[in-house]
Amino acid sequence: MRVYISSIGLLGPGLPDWQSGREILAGRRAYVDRELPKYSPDILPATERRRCGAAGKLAIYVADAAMRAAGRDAGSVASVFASSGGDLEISQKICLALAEAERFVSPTLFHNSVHNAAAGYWCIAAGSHLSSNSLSAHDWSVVAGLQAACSQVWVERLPVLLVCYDLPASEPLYSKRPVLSHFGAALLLEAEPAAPALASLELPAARAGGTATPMAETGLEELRRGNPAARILPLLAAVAAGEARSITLEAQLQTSVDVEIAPCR
Amino acid sequence: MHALYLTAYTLTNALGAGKQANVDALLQGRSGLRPNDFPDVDLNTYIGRVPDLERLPVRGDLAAFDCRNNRLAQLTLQQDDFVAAVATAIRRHGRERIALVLGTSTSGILSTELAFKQRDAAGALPAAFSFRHTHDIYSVADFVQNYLQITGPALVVSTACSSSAKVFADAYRLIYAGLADAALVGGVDSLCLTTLYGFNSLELVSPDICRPADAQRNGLSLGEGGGFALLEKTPGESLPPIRLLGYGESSDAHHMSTPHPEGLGARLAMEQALQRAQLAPAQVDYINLHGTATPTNDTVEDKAVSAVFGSGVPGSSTKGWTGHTLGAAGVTEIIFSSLCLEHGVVPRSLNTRSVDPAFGGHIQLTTERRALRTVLSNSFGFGGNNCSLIVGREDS
Repeated sequence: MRVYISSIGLLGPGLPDWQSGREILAGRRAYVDRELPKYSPDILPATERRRCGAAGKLAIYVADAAMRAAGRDAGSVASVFASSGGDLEISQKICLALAEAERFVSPTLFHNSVHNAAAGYWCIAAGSHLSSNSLSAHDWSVVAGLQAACSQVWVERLPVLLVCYDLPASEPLYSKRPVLSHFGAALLLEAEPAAPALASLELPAARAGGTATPMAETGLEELRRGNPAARILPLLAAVAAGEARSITLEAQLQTSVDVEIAPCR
Repeated sequence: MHALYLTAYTLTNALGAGKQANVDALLQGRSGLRPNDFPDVDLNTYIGRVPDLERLPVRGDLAAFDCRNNRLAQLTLQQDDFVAAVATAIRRHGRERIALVLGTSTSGILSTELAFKQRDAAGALPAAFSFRHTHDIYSVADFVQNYLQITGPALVVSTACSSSAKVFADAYRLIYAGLADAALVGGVDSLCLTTLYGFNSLELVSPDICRPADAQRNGLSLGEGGGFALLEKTPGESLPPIRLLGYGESSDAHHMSTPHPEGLGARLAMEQALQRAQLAPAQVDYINLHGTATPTNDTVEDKAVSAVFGSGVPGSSTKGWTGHTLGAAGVTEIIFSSLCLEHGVVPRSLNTRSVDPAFGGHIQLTTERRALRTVLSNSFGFGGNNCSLIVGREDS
C-alpha cells in the first residue's frame, strides 16, 4: 500500500525541528549538539498545559509542528499515537503511592496514567472530534504505528497524523525499561499527494528475517537504538535525503518490514 | 463495509470461563459481582473477580510472562476450543497472515505494584521482576503471539475503556489494506490497585453493587475479564454467520475523565457506525450500552442514544453482570452482543430498580427471548475516546 507524507514534526536530542533536523539526517550538517532543546506545546491551553504530563507535551509538540508545517487545521485529521511506554513516570508515581500506607492516588495522576493521555490532550487542544488511536508494540511500536496509520489512510481515504514518541522514566523503573532519551516524530499521511508532498511511502507486509537499517552517524545510531520511537530515524533520513531508498524496520518474532521511500516531484 | 465475520469467539470474566457460563448467567440474571475481597485492598465496594487466577500460572515455556493479566489471557484462550479454531485459521491463511490486535488499559501493572513493595534498601526493584513481560502495555500481545505462534502484524490498542472495541476497527483496516487475511482480536484487563484506588480517588466507585441507568446509581463496580474473536472474510461453519456491520470512532475533545456534557462524541461514534453499516437507527434491534453506572456517564450516554435512536430501541448495560472490565469491556460486550444474536436474547439492565426519570432512551428491565438481527455496542473511555460497533446475524 502506498501513502504520501505531507509533513513531518521532529524533536530529539540535537534535533530541534524538522527544518534543521533534515539537514542533519541527510548528512549535510554535522550532528554535534546533542542536548534536548527546550520546547513548549503552545497549542495546549494554559489549564491543560498545567495538567498534561511530560509524554503528552512531547507528543503534542511534534504533532502540532507537523500540522503547522502542512499549514493545516490541527483538528482536521484523525490521529494514531504510537508509543512503547507512554508516560511510564506517571505509572511509577502511582505505584510509589500505592506502596505507602495511605494509598492516596491523585485523581489527575490517575487520569493521566492512561496510555491515550497524550491523544486525549491533543484532541482537546486541536478541537478534534475525529478518530484517535493509541497503541503500543514494545520496541516495534513504530512499525505498528505505521501499519495502523497507513491502513487507516488506505482504507478510509482520510488524512491521518501518526505520532511516535517515547521518553525515559526515572529510577527505579528506568533500570527495568531503559529508554535513554526523549524522542518524538509526527508524520501527516495522506492517500493522495498534497502539493507538495515530502515523499511517498510504500508499506508491504512483513517478511521473515531481516535486520534494521542503521543510521550511518554514530550519535544518531545511539539515539535510534536507545529509544523505541527513534526507530523511525532511518525512514526520516530517507525522506531528508530526497532520494528513493528502501529501509528495513525490525518487527516482532524475527520479522521485518521493508519500507520504500521515494521523493515526490 | 467489506465483509468481516466473527468465526469463533470466547470470553472469561466474573460470570465464569467460556461462553456457556456467560449465557447461563445472562439468562438466569446472576451477577458475577461480589463484595470486594481482592488481596490487600481495603475499599468498600463490589468487584467482578475471576476466581482461581491465583492458582493458574502461565504455560511453563512462557513462565517469564507470568502475571495476573497474562494468566487471564491464557485462561480465556483455553475455553470453547478457541485454540483449535486458531489452528484451523493458521492452516487456512498461514501464521504470518493473521494479525493480532488486543486491547488493555493496565496490562500487568499489578506486578509492578507488588515489586514496588519489595524495593531493596537502595530503592531498586527485585531482580526477578520483568517489566517487559508483565507491566509493558504490549506484554499481553507478546504473550498471546508466542502462545499461539501467529506472526502477522501485532499491536495493542490502549485507549482506556474503548480499547478492545477499537481493535475490531484496526483489524478491519489491516485486513482490507492487505497486511493480513484474518485477525485475532480481543482484550484482557485484570484487577489491580491502580484502577481500584484510582477510580476511587475520582469518586466514581460505588460502595453498592453497580446499578446502571438507575435513578439512584452512584458509581461503578470494577471487574476483570478477557475476550477473543477470530475475524475472517468469510463466515465460519460452527457458528451462525455473525458479521461486523459497522464501526464508529470519535473523540470528545472536552475533558480527560469527564464525557462531553451533551454526549457529542458518543453520538458521532454511533452515527458513524450506522452510516458504515448502511442502517437506519430503527433497524437496530438492541443496544448494549456502555452504562458504567456513574451518574455522569449514564446521563450523557442516554442523551446521545436518545438523540440518535429516540426511545424506540431497547438498551441495557451488562456491567451489572461483569462489572466494568475497562480495556476488556469492548470485546466482552461485542461478544455478549454476538451471543444475544446467536441465542435470541435481549438482556435486562441487571440491578436497575427504577430507571432514572430524566432518561429519554428505552432501558430494558426484563430479559426477553426473541430473534435479533442487529446489535450496536458502545464503549467510551478516558481521554474522550469513543467507539461504537454494530454486529448482525446474516441467516440466508
